Amino acid sequence: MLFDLFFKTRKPVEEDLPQASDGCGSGNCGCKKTPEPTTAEPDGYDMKLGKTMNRRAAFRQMTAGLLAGAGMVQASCSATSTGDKREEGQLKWEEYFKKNYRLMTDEEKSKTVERLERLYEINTGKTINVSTNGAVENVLYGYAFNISKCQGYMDCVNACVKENNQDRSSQMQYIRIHEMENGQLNFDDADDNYFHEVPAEGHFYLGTQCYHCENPPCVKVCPVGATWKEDDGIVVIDYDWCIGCRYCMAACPYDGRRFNWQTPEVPEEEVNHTQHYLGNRLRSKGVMEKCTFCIQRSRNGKNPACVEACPTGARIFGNILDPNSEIRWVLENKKVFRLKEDLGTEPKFWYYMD
Amino acid sequence: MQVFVQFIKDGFQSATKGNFTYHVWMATLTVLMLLGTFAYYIQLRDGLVVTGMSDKVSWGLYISNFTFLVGVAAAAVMLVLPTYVLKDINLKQAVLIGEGLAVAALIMCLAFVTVDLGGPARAWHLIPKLGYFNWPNSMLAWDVIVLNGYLFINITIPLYILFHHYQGKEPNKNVYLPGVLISVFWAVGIHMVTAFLYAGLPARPFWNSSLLGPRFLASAFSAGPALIILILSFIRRYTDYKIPNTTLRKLALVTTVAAQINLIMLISELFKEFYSPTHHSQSAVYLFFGLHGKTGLVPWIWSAISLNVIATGILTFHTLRNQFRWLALACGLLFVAIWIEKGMGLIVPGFIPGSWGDIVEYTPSLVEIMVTIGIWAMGAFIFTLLVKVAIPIELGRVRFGKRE
Amino acid sequence: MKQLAVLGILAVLIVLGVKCAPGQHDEGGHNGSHHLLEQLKYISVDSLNYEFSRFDQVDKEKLVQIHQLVEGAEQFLIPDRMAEMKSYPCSNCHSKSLEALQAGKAPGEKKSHWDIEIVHAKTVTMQCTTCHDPKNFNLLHSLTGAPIEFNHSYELCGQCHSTQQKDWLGGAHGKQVGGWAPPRVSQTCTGCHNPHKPAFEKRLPARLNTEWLK
Repeated sequence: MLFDLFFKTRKPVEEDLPQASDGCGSGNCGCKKTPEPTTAEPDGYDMKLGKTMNRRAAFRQMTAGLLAGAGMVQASCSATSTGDKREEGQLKWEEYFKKNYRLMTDEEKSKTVERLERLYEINTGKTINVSTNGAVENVLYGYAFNISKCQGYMDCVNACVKENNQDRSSQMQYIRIHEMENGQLNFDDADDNYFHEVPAEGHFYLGTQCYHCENPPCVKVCPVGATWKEDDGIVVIDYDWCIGCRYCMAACPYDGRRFNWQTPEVPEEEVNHTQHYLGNRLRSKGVMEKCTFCIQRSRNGKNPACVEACPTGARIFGNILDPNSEIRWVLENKKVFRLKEDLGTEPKFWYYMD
Repeated sequence: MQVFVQFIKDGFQSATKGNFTYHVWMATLTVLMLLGTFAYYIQLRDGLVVTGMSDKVSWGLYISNFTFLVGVAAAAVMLVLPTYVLKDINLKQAVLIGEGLAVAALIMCLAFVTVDLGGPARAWHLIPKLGYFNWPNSMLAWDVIVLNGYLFINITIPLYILFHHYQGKEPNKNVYLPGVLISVFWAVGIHMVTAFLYAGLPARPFWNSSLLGPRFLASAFSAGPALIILILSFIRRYTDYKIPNTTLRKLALVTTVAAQINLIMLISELFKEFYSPTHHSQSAVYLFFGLHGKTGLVPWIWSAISLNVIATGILTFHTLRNQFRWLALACGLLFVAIWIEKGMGLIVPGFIPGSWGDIVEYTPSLVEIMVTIGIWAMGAFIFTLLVKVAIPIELGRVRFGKRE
Repeated sequence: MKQLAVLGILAVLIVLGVKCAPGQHDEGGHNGSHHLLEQLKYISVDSLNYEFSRFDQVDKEKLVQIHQLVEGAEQFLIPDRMAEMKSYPCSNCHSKSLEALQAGKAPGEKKSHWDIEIVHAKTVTMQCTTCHDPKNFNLLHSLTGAPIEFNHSYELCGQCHSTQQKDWLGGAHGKQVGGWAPPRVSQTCTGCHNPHKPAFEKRLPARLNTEWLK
C-alpha cells in the first residue's frame, strides 16, 4: 500500500524488468528501444516491489544491487554479434577514461568522435556525424527576442526538440514560452502551460531559454569544469564529463538547464544525425544539458532551429561583434532589456518591443 | 608494526563480541543498509527519476541530510578545543565519542553526495590532476577538500591517541595538539564552506544571505552536542564507561547557548523576510504560509519551529536542564527540529518558487527515503563500531598483550 | 593559547574571503565593470572572414537586392517574389484594363479573385486599386501612382507602415533568411504577411509547453 503510494506519483518509466539490467547507460544511448505503449502493464517498480515478485527474484535483485553498489556493472547493449560486442565493450572502456573535452588534443578529439560514431553504428546500424568545430574567430553570439511579435505558436519548441535530440519520454524542452497579461511583466502570474488558441486577447508572449551569460554563474560552480563558455560566447557542457551533481542547476537564475533524470529516448528515425560534440549529440542519463544556440548549426553560419522555425520573425540571432549585423542594429536602435540584470550575469539574450 | 596488527585484531574482536542486544542492533542496521543498497540499485538502474526531485526542485532529501550532517560533524569536534587546549578535563570523555561521531557523520555526508550524483561512476573526475578540479572557483570543490581533509584529521588523531593508550603509553602532546588545533578551525571551515555553497548563489535569494554561514554554525553547535548528550547518556547507562555529570552539564550549556543564538538568528531572518516582504521573500512566504494554494512545507517548518522553541525553552531553565530526563527530551526535540530546518526548511524551499515563479512541490519518493535510511544506518553502524572499539581501550580493558 | 586560536580562526576566514570574493571576471575576455553593450562600443573587430555565408543556405539566383530607400542604408537581399508567383505575369489572364473587364462582365458572372477577402484597413482607406495598378495588372503602384514591382512591395507597404519599415531596414523586423552570416537576407513584407489579410491568425500552439501531452 505504502509502496503504491510512493510510486504512483512518479513519472512513468518504460523500461521493464527483464531488460533492465542490460542497462543502456553509458556513452551513447541510441540503443534500440521502441518503447511499447505501456497500457495496463505495471511499471518497473510495481514489478520489482509489488506482490508479483517471488522471493528468489527478490534475492537476485538484491544481489545485483550489491554488485552495482560495489563496482559499476556495465553490460553492453544488445549487439549484433560477439565481435561487435567485444568492440563495443572496448570502445566504452576507452570512452570512460577519456579526458575533459577542453584538455583534449585535436587528435584525441577525433579519436573520441570516431568511437562515438562507431558505437552508434554498432547499436543502430546507422551513421552519425559528430563535429568538433571550434569557435569562429571574432564572433560573439547574441540573441534578441521581440515580445511584440511572438504569438505563442510554439513552433520554436518543436523545432528545438527535433534538432537537439531531446528526450522524448520526459518531453524535455529547452525553451519555455510564458503567456503574460498585458500591462505587467510578471512571471508569477504568467501561464507556462497554456493550450488554447493563441495569441490570446490581452496577452503577450515571452520566451526563455539559456541566455549564454557572459558571466555565467553555472560555469563558476561546476566542481569538475564540465561546463564552460566557449570563445564565441556559447556556454556548453561536456556531457561525458558531467558528474550530475546539479549544482549548476541551482546556480542558474534563468531555469536554463535541464537534467536527464532517466535514460533519454529518441526513436532512431527521429534522431538528428548531424551532431556536435558540445551540441546535440545523444546524452546519457544523469547528465546536464541545455540550449547551445544550436552550436552544430550556428558555427556553420546557420541560425538556431528556433530562429529558423519562428513564423513571426520574433527571434533575431547573430554576431554582436559585427557592426553590420541585424542583432547589432537591434541592440543599438531598439529599447532592449534583459531579465534579472541586477544579478550581473550579463545575458547575451535581449528582449525588445516594436 | 606488529603492535599495529595486533591493535587491529583486538579492535576487530571488540567489535564482533557483544551481548544479544548489540547483535540485534547491528543486524537491524545491516538489514536497513541492505534495503538502502537495493533502493540505490534501483536508482542507479533507472536514474534519479525514481526520486522525488525534478528540474524545478533539483536537490532534495540527500542534499538536505548532507547539509545537516556536515553540521553534526563540525560540532562534534568543537568539543575538542576546551579539552585539549584549554585543559578542561570535563569534556575529555566526550572528545573521543565526538570524533567518532564526526567520522561517522562525514562518511554519511560523502555517501549522501555520492547517491545524489547522476553519474557516480564518473566521480573520479573530481580527483585533482586525474580529473579536472574546478578549484578555487567552485564551492563544491572546496567542500570536497574540506570534507575529505576533515575526515583524514578525525581518523588520524583518535587513532593516534587510542593506539598509544592501547600500548599503555601517554600520547605525545606535541604530535597531536597541532592536529587538534587544525581540526577545530577545520570544523568551522567545513560548515562555513558548506554554507557558502548555498549562500553564493544569487539565483536563489532564499539562500543568498550573509547570515546563512553563522546560522549554520549556531544550529550545528546545538544539534551536534545535543546528539552527543543523548549518546553519552546512553553509553553511561549501558556501559561501564564513566561519564561525570559535569560533562553532560557542560555540553548542555553549549547546546543551550547555541540554540538561543540560533533562535535569535531565526527571528532576525523572519523579521527581514516579513517586515517588508519583497519578491525575494517569496520562498519564505511559501515555506511559512504557502503560496498560491501550495502548502507542502508549512507543516514541516511550523513543527520544526515549535520543537525548536520548546527545546530551547526547556534548556534555558536551569532547573529543567539539570534534570537529565528533561535534558534528553530537549536534546531529542532540538535534533529533530534542526534536521527539519536544514532540509525541508532550507534546501527545498530554496527552489520554490522556481526561477520563473512556478511552484512545483517536492515530496521524497520511497526509493529516496530507503536510501536515506540506509545511509543513516551505515552511519550508526560505523559509529557503533568505533565506540565499541574505543571504549574498552579507554577503560584499559584492552591493552597490547593483555585482554580481560 | 587562546590568542593563537582566535588568530587562527581569523586567518582561515581571511583566506576563505580572499579566495572566494572576486567573481570570475577574466573568462572569455569580454568582461569587466561595464555592461556588455557598453563594451561593444570599444571592441573593434579587425576582420570578419567567415568560411560560410547565407548563400550556402539560399540560392543566390532566387534573391533580389532591395532599392535604396534611405541615404546610406544597407541594400540587403530579399527573396525574388515574382519568380515564385504561380501565375505571373498577371496579364496572361487579365489582358484588358479594369474598366474594360468591369464593362464586359456578363450578368451573374463571378468577379475575378472573388475568394479574396480583404481584411486590411477599412474600405474607406483601402481597396484593391490602392495597391494594384488598374491599368497594368503586372504592377503595383504607390499612392501617387508611381509604379512598383511586386518584388519591391515594401515600398508600397512602407507608405503607411513607416515605423515597421524602419525596423525592417535596420534588422529588427522581418525574419532572417539563410542564417546569421553576411550578406544579409531578410524576408520581405509579403513573405510573412498576406497583403490582403496581414494580421497573424489565431491558432492552437504547436504543442503544450511544459506539460506532458497526453
